[in-house]
Amino acid sequence: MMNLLKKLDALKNDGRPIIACFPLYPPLALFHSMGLAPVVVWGLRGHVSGTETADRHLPSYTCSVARHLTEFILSDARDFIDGIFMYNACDTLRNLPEILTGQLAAAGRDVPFFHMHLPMTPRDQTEASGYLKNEIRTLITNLSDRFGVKFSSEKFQNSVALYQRMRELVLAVQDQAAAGRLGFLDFAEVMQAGAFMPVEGHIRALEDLTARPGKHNAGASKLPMDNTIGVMISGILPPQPSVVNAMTAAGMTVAADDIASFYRSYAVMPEPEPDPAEYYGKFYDDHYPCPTLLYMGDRRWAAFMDRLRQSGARAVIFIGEKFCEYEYFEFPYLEKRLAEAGFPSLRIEISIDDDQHTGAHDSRIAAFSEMLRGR
Amino acid sequence: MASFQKTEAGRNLSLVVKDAYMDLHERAARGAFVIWIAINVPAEIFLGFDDVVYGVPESHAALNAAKGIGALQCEKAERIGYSMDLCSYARIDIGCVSDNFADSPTFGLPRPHLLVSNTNNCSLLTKWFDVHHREMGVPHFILDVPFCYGPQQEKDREYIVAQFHDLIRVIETMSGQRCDMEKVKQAVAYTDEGIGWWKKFLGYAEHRPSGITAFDSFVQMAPFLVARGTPRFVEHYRLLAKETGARAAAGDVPVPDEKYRLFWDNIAPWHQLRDMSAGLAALKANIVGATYTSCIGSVEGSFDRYPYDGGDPLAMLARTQNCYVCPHGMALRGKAMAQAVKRLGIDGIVFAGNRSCKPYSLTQFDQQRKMAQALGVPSVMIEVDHADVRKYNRENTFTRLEALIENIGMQRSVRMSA
Repeated sequence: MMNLLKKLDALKNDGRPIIACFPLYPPLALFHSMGLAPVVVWGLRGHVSGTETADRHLPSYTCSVARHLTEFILSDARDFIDGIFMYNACDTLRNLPEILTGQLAAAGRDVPFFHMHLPMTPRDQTEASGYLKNEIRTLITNLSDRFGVKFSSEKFQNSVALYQRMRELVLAVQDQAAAGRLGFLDFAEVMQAGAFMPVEGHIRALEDLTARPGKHNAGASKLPMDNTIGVMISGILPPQPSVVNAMTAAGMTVAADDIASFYRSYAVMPEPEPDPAEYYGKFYDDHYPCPTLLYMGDRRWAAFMDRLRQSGARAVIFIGEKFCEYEYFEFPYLEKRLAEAGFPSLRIEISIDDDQHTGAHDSRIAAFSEMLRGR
Repeated sequence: MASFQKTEAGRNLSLVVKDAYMDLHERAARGAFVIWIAINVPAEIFLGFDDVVYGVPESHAALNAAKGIGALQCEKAERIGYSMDLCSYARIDIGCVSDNFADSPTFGLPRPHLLVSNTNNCSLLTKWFDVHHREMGVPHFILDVPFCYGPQQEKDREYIVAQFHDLIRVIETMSGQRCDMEKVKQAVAYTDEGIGWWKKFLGYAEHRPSGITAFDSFVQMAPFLVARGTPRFVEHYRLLAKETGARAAAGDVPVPDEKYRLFWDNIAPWHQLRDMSAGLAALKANIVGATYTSCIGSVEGSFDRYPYDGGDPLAMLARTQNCYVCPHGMALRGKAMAQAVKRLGIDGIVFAGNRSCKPYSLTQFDQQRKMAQALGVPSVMIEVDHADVRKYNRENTFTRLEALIENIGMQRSVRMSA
């Protein structure tokens, strides 16, 4: 917790209004270019102290993502947030803004809520580019009105270029982690921290990681790479450290990830262009498939398989986030197709209470590894 | 005690549903173009075609649950890898499809040529229909309805109408049939007229004792799912409203010794309708209204009828796409609920947290506090699942309902002694 609050404090001291964004693929470069500081409030497990506040508002069958981000915004980060941005994702998240802004108002904080509807119609079914462009332009107007900031094409292109640089570094770091030159947990930590830094700071952190990979080996296998089994991990959130450590102990390495906040976020990014409405049209149309982007369901399997084959991974571990319906509707299909293609898979389920109870996961991961070695 | 004698409208309801399923199967067997739709996809559009029929997996799932085989069907889906945390309607449907509707009370649904889901009630419908899309190789059309936190905006309405046109084009191309917009217009007019009678039927809840229970209204929703846009839809609701009115005038009401008037917030627990109705009646309590049934035929933020002006039928259908409780936010829901609570003279609200419906349930804790603040009406939170009886605990539920009734009684005593 201390870490993220310090980062928020640092952002606050920079003087830029802080925009808490969810879900995973907000128009970050646009916010950055307008002098705002976007933070992506996602995957805060381990960074919030309990869910006491959130549990007064959300039922127990709400996923940890929503409970943690609610807790974070309403308690620890309450006095740091200047705005909340959300686009439509799942049924849970779309109901959060009124809870959040209502509670912040009750605490004396007038925090505006910015909303954008991302068209979820398949692009070959309904022409929705005009609708999305209008949403982006309206967002710019609303941000300008509220914060007195101005949009500039030049600044926007510069920001996009920075995010492009960050993306290149993320992919390079992922490759290093897959090759065993740095630990997956170090990579994960830098990624999580990056969500709460200006993109310039995130770039520096990634450059440091790539320059000195030997120093960063948390979660890296001690075995020679030839003796490890490469697996691809997939899920809406990265696995908690105990899962990565169990994989490492069982002789497995993360050869690739299909994690929403990691690879799915950075796999594809369009080139800079002056009109943000055009840019985000491409950004969302060409995005790497994710179960939360309903319009690209038909592209999901092919992208998933490409990633798996290119990585050389021998199997897949699905990191199921309990109550994440989007992911859970897809698991049986992906598992079936993987089996047909000769790739074993393991599904583990992580609930909000699982931080302290990892024994069952450890056993299943060890058994899975043994099974793979026996093939 | 509540009476479970079948009324004429009750008997007619059985006929309407039976005939609709028979018609669906027979026409499909003769080569009609078959569409599976999400519950709120405007079926009036399909009536613009000569030979297009539709089935509603959610409605079929509710029927399974009401017949007591929801859990059986859910388990079939769970055995092939679908998590028990997923919506029970979806699990029932996927379970049914997995063995070709072996245990279905309606002989299932005929195989579709097209799937049409939407994002308004819940986005997960799209993921659910994607399961069929992938397994059956059937095209999947996604109707995207923007969620609204305030009144529906013009830009969103235009976006929805554009999608309706695309849907019509897709059906025309796939089926080789032409859509006659005059027929669509007529269908929208029939629905509108039927909704007028529906609202009249719900209005008998204002009588004391109430002329209806919400449980009656849950069951009587079925024609919305199988007969919208037809003369039979109008006839049924006219019959229902007139018969209910006559019975109420004659003092023939479901809970004659009604002492506590309650309001329900969430989808019906289909597997518990009779037990819950009887259990409450024994406590002299009646759930006289529900957000679930009141929202039909309205627009977001109100339960009043939104009448059709005879103009563009697609514009009318688009305007009412956010009316169902889930596609709009907490403030709008609260506004409509508060009006209903006042109009119906409600003594207490039952918030039914539904493990299978997050969009309906997620804001209920806050809504409960808001209602208490705004209206001073006591309420209770119970836990149900609309179609999976394994997630329902009768003892817990009735302990809480009894506590609510005690609370209402205490408040009354305090008021009387003041």
